[in-house]
Amino acid sequence: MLRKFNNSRTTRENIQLGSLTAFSAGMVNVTSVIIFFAFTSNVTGHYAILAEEISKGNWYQAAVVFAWIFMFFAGNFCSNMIIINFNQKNTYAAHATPLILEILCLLSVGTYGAFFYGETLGETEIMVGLMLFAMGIQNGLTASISNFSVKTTHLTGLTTDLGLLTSMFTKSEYRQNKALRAKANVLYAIATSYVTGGIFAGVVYQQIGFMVFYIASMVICVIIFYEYYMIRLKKMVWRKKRKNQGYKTPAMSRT
Amino acid sequence: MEKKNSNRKIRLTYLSGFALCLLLFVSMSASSPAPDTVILGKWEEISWEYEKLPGNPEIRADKTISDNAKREITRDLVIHQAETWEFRPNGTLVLYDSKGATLSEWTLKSRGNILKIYNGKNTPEHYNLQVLNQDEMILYFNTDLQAKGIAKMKFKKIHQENYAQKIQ
Repeated sequence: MLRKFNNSRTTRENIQLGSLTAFSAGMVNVTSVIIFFAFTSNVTGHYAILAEEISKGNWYQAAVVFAWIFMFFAGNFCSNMIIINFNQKNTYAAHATPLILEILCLLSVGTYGAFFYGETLGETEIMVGLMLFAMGIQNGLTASISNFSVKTTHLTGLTTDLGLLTSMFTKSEYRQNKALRAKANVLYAIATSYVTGGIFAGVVYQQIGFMVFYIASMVICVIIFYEYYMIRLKKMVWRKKRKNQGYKTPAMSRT
Repeated sequence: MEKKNSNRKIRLTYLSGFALCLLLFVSMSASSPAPDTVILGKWEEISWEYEKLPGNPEIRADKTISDNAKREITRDLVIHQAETWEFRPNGTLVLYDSKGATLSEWTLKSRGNILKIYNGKNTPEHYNLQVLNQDEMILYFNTDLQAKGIAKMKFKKIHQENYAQKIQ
């Protein structure tokens, strides 16, 4: 999921990465709507609200929304900065670091919310900003490493693509195109995971409150550790192969 | 040498961009006070109207909510029959009616456009803070009465000197 970059990625890897990150994004978005009455995984609505608040002359509210949009931008910026600067040195580390940052943000919100949140407006605004930053990081990472084919925190572009692809599939020439079918599979998997994550969070929030963010963090952890495990496994297999080849060499030389 | 200059130029452009965003944020947030400070004080209820009411256009023409309808709408709400609302800085909301005063808790959500009222007994109530300035506050809330209309509550701020004059 995290080891490969851009065009070397398979559809399966994109589905795995897209589904897991979309599941956590759905969880975060629904929870923030329930608790804070603000969307945190997409900014389209925030742009409209920013324009509305400016037109009404509500400058404080406009500033808050502007800061939220900036936090999402900053998340994407930081994520891609890490990837483009460290990808050559260690691809896995370059891709895992933004996810670790995202986990830190979500854990901060979850911990603060569960133990210290006094429901003041300032706290709400900062926590929403932090979640937008986390979602920006995630979106930046998935978009960057998948050559912009996977975006998991918002579904506007994805629904557009799905609409286009579905209409294309009315013609057999497009239905037989493997690349288009693979793309549709990735998009359907993301949309389904996002909605599932949202429903799951909506149900679970009633029982555990802010601890929902711990579960969202755990989902991200699965991506990091699965990849780490796969790297270790591949190294082990590679070493074993080398070792076996070493023993075989003399025998081969005798023949 | 040329590359060094170009790098410096890019760094400067990025820094200026971020500084501009920060400046915009600071100047915008300093231009008006936060809603959680504007709301503090006493507010007197002026009117109740339907903002949106589905159904017969003749009924829709008169949007004023009668006292009976108002009592019916607010029957199970914290704000039932409250005429004056006092928002205190410690998060306490005092609702005054003809019989006396009741205590609740208030807080603002989202960007300060959602008012949450909670009295510890019922489930929290949420009102849409449509307009809030030094003199006027307009709250919207969804009501099941009249096939899910949106009720609009208008308030006028009781400034301390006005209140003192009224008492005299």
